[in-house]
Amino acid sequence: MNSLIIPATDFTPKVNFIIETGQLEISGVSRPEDVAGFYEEPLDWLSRFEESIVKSGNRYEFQDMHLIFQLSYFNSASSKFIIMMLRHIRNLISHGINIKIDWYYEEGDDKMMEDGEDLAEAVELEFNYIEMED
Amino acid sequence: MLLHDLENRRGFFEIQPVQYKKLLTLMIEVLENVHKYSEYFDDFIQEYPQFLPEFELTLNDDGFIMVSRNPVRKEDRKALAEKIKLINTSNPDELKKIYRETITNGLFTEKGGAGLGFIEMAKIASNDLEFSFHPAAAGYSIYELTIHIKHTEP
Repeated sequence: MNSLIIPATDFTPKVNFIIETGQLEISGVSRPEDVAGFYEEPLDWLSRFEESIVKSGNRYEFQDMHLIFQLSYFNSASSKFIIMMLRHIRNLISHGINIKIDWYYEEGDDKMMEDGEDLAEAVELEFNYIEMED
Repeated sequence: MLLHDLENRRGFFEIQPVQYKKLLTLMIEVLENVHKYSEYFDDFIQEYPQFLPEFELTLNDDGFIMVSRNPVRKEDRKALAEKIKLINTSNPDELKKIYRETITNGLFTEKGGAGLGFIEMAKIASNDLEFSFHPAAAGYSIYELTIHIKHTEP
């Protein structure tokens, strides 16, 4: 299985899912014209990754995974797909994978922090909230 | 283009960063809603160009007023009104519950929407979403949505 790298655009986030290190990063803006089309690839990657973990145990070298959200904006349609990704993360955790989830937000952007809290609560996961200084 | 207009006028109107983010988020949600359902009124506005969608953002002493207008089919009015009334009559806890149920139900509207737009708007504005329907033509009404966004402390 290969890493998934999707560069950012004005409307879509950067996606860096690095298989060698277990670091998954989504950052930038998420308001794709075709939101389902954009998230198909990351969701498929996570689905295959989860399947490989379930089938053969953690055969990757990393011990812990790290999920990083550093979004400056995401629209309401994107949030449903973020939830779908988080469900895969929750499944991986239930299979014994340690996953640290960091939710970055810009200084003073309480709304972005609350959005993270809402998402975390909806899927019953724990996020670390990190305020970025200007 | 409208989003760039807002960015360009940010300095002139001395919009604080938190307020700017609120306005930007609301604008995107409002405009995406209009765009998402535009195929339902594309033919209508070809025939009646006086009913083209409109968007306004005005500033007064209390804050900003965001208004959008677009044609809707008369048969869609009831569902739209009920959706907004439910949001307006919900307290913050109920709104949170609706948000949580909607975000986790895995359902999408026929136009690929998440069904979260009005909830998101109400959460950001912390005010009721005002709406009205005005007569247009040929089985269509003009749906007007007004959102008041109070000034935030700098």
